[in-house]
Amino acid sequence: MPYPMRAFAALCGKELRLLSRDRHGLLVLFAVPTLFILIMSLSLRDAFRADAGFSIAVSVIDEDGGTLAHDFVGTLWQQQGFRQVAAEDADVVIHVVPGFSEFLATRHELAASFRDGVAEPPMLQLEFQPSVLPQLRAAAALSVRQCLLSVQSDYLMAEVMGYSDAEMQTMRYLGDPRRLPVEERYRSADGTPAVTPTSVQQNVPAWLIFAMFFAVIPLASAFVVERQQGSLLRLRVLGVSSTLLLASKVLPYYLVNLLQMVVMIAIGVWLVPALGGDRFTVGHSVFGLWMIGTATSLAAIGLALLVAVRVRTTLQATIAGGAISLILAALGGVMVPKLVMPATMQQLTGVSPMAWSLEGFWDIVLRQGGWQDALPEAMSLAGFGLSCLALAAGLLRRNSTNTTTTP
Amino acid sequence: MIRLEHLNKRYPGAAQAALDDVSLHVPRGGLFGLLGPNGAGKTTLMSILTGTLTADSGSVTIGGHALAQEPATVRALLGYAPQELAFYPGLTVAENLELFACLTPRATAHSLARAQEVADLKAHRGKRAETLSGGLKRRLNFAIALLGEPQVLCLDEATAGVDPQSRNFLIEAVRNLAQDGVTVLYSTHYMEEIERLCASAAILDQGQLVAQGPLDALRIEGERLEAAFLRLTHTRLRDSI
Repeated sequence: MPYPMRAFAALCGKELRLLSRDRHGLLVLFAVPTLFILIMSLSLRDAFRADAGFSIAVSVIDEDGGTLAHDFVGTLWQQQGFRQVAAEDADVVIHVVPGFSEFLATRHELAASFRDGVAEPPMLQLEFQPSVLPQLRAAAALSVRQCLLSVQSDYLMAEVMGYSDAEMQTMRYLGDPRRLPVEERYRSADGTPAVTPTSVQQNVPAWLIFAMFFAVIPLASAFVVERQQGSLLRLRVLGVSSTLLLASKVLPYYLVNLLQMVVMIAIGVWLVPALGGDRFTVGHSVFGLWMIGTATSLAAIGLALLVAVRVRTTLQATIAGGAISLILAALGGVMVPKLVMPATMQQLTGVSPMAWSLEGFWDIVLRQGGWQDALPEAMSLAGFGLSCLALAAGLLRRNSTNTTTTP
Repeated sequence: MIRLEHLNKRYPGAAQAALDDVSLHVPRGGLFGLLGPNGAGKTTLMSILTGTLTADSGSVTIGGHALAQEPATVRALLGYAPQELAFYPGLTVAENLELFACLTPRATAHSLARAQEVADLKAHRGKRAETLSGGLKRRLNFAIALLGEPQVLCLDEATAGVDPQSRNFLIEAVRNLAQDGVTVLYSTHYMEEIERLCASAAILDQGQLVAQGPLDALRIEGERLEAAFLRLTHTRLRDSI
């Protein structure tokens, strides 16, 4: 075998051997993202389900006691999501104010003056605990209003308009927004129905990308140790070039990244459903997955090597590597899904290569696209990775020739 | 065998030159000592000699080959054991030797076995380098330098931090190599090692070569080498500023 090939193979083998013996490194690369995928996929499972509804602890204090108030409370308890509890345990206490029934029975007569600006007295008071999230509060308040509307409509149809039971059934059907014939579906890249987004579809690619970029910590730390212990100096004496040295780190970590991809996808396909979560759907393009995975790996390793040649101690490697990964993840929609971010933050995600990668993975696994759909993101990631590698090689060469040897 | 001509090196931002017009000649097959206080320029000189640092001016010739013109040829002639323990602690002794043998252009299965034998590492092949004693680590560091069967061996503090038995073993191993025709440049702070091993030495101080030649020429009659060293380099502490 020619010398450069022999040297490259030996250095790659050394890197894999050292990594396989680095328990902390393996923990960071495999165990941490596995736990994140399981925890986040299972805990956010219902947040991604359109029909999941909500659940809130409710106490009703009926200070009116009239017939319509009684109808309202009865309707309320028929709604999904309201759990009846004592007032001190409630997330929301609903006060049915005195005069509720009388006011509801006459409201239609006063509607014209209310339209003209006369202030309308409250019929219900909803008191929420400050710990209730705004989204839950909005959903619960909307449900209470729908109950109130339902009681009011029934009263008007039966008592004011004199509808028969059959007519009331028809009007109830027509007035139910959930029964309106509107079709909703997710659209794929080619216009056909796409996979329904679930927490596992969001979290498997997101934490896989995070894990790939988190390789910066073991890679940069190992590089610092190599430099501090003089192994790097010895390699230079033996004529190992900066390019060969960096290439011998790219290939092993690329293989590790591919293994991470296989393991994380397998967890999404088999382990998460076994624990009660949704099943991860791979999509139609295995080549596309490989392509975006490879481009992500290149970006992650390039960044890791750039950090590695800049830092001087393992502490710096851990802090700088960890901080960069966390910031890129926070910006890139890994930790908080991009869809729930405000518009300005969504625009800011564009600066993170993790966001490019996430979009690329979604092109394949969510939008059911082919490799061509993920090509723009893959090109951006590859460009970023190659730029980092070129910069790292330049810095390493400069350090090697003039500044690293202790005088 | 080793010829350094008018070497100059100043690190960026440094007030003083690390090497100031240093010229040195080490004959073939000899054991040559390199002495100097901390910061004298010994490691800079070794780094330039081994091609890991570029001199601002001057030339290095080894075995008749100019380092600047034929770096690969010069590298093939050289073996270097740096002051640091330059191997991978996470690998075993055998894995380290095999790795560096793959990276050493002239290394063969025979040279690997010979290096292992010279450093007496056979019984420790399966041990992780990080678990070795200080003496064994120094022997492994030394063995790696021998993998290419070098004609010139540069040893920088080869016995630092080891027990007397290990030091004695290493000194005898170096002496045997020199007897086999290897030229050894031996840098150390231990004067008695130089007195025991070398016929000639050079003393560097503040980047300048203050003396070089046979040990007897460096010493005034009856004087120990350490006394001669302090006389030539003075007693002021060099790393107290």
